[in-house]
Amino acid sequence: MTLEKFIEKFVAEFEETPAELFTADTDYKKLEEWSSLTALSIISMVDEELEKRITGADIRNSTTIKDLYELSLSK
Amino acid sequence: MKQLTNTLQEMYGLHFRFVNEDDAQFILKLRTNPHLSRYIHSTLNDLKTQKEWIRRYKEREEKGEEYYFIFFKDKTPVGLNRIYNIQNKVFTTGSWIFDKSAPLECAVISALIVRIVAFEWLGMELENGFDGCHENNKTVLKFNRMLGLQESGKIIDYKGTYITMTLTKADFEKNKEKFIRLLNLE
Repeated sequence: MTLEKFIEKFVAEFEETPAELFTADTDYKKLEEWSSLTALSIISMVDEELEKRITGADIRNSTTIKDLYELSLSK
Repeated sequence: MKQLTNTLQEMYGLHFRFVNEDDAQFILKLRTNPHLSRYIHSTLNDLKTQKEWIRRYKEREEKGEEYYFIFFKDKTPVGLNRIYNIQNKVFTTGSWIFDKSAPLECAVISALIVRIVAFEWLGMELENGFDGCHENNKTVLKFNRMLGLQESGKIIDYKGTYITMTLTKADFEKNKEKFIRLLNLE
């Protein structure tokens, strides 16, 4: 999966935040909508789309969407 | 079947116990936070009133009608969740609210814990979310569906439309394993 496709899937896990606010460099945990339930959705999306298992610690240790994408691929 | 007792218990790295009057300030802090309380019933920001509410809750707890839990991560209180309206093997969950600073797994784990307590420890057979989830609370509605809850109707009040949902024990047991795997709780 390309980074662009990953961002597209990432955006789809948010319900309220406008899609144009998301780029590879978005510090996603600073978005107002970010919550533990969104985190679970992201973990689930990575599990389904990339067949990779990321953890809460992985999310804590990443800042941008690109960070999380690269970390997911490295699993 | 495990017994629910009025002591500090631990599951999946979270400690929990029944709330008591000493927790009133923490409950108020969360329930009067404008962002966190957007979709829950309003709470008067008054310590005395909150303590009185807890005293009345303790009577329901004593009768086995309701259990209100406070959760701790590394001895720090991080959130609340509640099983109530317990009758004829049917229950409701609610008052689910967690501090924004809590580690992100905590709220989800608490949602699993209250249902494990209800279905597996107390022998309940059905969760009936009769008072509903606000239709704009899309993140929670999505989470509920992931957990296996199914829509059962709609109610309308002054704050808008609420979606009522139910969860059978069988559906919870089927979906619980996915959460345990995703959260790396095995």
